[in-house]
Amino acid sequence: MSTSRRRFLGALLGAGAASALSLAGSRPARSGAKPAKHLIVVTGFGGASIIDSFLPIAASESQNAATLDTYLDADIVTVPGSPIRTHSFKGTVLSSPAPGDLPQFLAAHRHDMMITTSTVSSVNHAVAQKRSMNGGGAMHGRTLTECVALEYGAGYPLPNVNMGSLGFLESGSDPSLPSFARQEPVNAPLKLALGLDGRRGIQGVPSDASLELARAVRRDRLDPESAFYKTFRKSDRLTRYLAQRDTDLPTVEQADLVTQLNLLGPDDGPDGSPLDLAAFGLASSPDHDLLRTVFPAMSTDPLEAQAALAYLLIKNRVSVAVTLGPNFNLTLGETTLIANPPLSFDRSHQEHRATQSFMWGRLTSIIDRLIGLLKNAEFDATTGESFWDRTMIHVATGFGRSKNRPTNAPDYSSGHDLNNGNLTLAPFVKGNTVLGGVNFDTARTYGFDTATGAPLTGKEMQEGEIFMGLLGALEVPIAGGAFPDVPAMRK
Amino acid sequence: MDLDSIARRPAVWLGVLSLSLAAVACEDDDARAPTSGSTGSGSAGSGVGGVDPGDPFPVSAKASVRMKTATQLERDLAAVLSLDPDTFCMELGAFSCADVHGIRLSETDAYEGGFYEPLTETIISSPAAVDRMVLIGCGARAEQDLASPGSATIFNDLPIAGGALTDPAAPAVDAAVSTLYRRGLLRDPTAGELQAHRDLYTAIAASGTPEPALEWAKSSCFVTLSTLEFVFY
Repeated sequence: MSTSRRRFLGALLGAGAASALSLAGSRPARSGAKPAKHLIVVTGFGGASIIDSFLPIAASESQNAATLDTYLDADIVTVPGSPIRTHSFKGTVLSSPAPGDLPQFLAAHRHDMMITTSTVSSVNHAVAQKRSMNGGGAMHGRTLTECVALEYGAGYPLPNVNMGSLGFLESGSDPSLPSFARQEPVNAPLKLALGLDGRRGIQGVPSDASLELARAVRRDRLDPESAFYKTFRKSDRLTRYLAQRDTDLPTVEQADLVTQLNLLGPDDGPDGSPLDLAAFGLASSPDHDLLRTVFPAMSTDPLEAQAALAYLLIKNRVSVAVTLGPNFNLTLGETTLIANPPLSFDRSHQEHRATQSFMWGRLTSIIDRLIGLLKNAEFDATTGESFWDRTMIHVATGFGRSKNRPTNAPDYSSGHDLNNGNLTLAPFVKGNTVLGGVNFDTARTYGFDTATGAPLTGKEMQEGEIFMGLLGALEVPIAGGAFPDVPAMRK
Repeated sequence: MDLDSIARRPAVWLGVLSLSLAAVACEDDDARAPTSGSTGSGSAGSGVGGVDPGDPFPVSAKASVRMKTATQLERDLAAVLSLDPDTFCMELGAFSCADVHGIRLSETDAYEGGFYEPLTETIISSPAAVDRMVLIGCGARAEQDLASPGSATIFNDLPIAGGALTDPAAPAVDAAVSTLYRRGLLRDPTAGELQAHRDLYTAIAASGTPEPALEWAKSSCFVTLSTLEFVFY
């Protein structure tokens, strides 16, 4: 609202207490800031094992092949000119074949792919997941996404959106973090838009002008006059709510996010029934048809809906950090029995190899499509950069899986293991690179020199070191962090 | 529970009376109310025991307030507005408000969203969720009331001609606002609050809307039931 508009309202309403509850903006002005880099965290919920995706061991390479998590030599796939390898094994979970294609993914994205190794500090799901997001507290307890939102998110309507679950959904622990950088949790991406406007999409709602007047009365006269407010005015909760209601919400409404982020379409009523958005004065996102083509199951598969929303959030410059991923829940499929197995990667307790194959295929399929969308969206007309040129996708996971198996068992149960590694993709990370490696005879990963990237067989990487490397690649300042810079992880 | 019967109880009226007296006494203290940019920075604690002796509203040192959950808000709105709690609040006529806005208002979504613990703080979309739920309920109440003058729940016998109030200061207008406060906030409105609602009508009518009375009824209800006092406890 302009100053003159507010003055006019104050005069019109005769409000001696005009603007009594107005707040200074809750976020700093964004002026002269460097162009944003974006972070999409895809969560490998339940234990995404790096030796079952892009660091597999061929049986002939190991002295203990029969009792370790190794793959048939014939299943190992390499790409000329790349140190990254994968496998062609495709498992079946609950009668549903694994989606995706790891060899094809490697061939398509190897130049932007970086494999790092790590040994984390917990095998408890929630704890390990949280530490995968905050590097074990490496940066004042802030999460990766909070760091990115703090650096680039001022001025964005929803800088930090989190669609994850359990530990991936937990906020960081830095009380000094500005509120704008804190995460906005989203559980139902198809319907997020309905929470981003306080009035549109409601039949018979008063006119915008009337509601503007009403909100001014609420803000400037009713709330300040109430005994409730006067008594509890020191409440941080009230202060926070007022800032969100009177400052942030109007900003979000002006950005028309109720349209830009609306993933609902004409067939998205309950159980696939028709939904007449126009009758409520709404429309689908302008990108709705495109996203329906890329993510055809987004009405029934939450992960596809999350990916579609992630694209809209980044492309429409609503967010700089987005977290998405599966959770413990089963998702039924449209063309197969399931789209997501119960427990996600943690179903490896029942069938390790099939589950890892299924879930890695599922995540890489989603990532592949997201990258495709971002490559075709222009970030800067002057430089010709696409959004992908300024985006990192990091597959975070709580922990790895145990390395052993019953002798020559084709499939088996695995447990949680601290030792693992990560997949990260971005045009600005050290692509087409494996940092560290895997001991073929123990299946444990080893580390690397943080400055040169040279493998160090006697070292295992800490989660805080990987955290710092990611921040460095994202050009987020790391002064004051618990670990030094890791230049080996960026170009 | 019948809110009218609650409002008739002597104990409730004693409470209302004490609040009203306190509110009247507070009229001169508005100058000490927070001013722009200083919300939450009141001078509490300067007096004995954390109470400013000049302030009739001792400021709570702990200020421990909670926001209503989506279900609590939905049920409270249904009770205040005499609407069916199971059906009145639907987004796009298809989705339950409590489902759509649940996690924004301190609820969980374990089975579909993998959202196991309620948020302890509001998020940017929380106030939008509140405004939408209140607008949906108030819209239904106002339309029903103005369509059945004489037997309305809140906006009863408003002096309306040609879609406008013939007398914004009429007793029926103040009575409607008072009913709204009694049902929603379990107290009478202060003189200042009554005046604010009258001024709201004047402003809406001046904006040129074709049905200012209905717009005001919806808006008046909305601003009352979306105040901090109704949304938090």
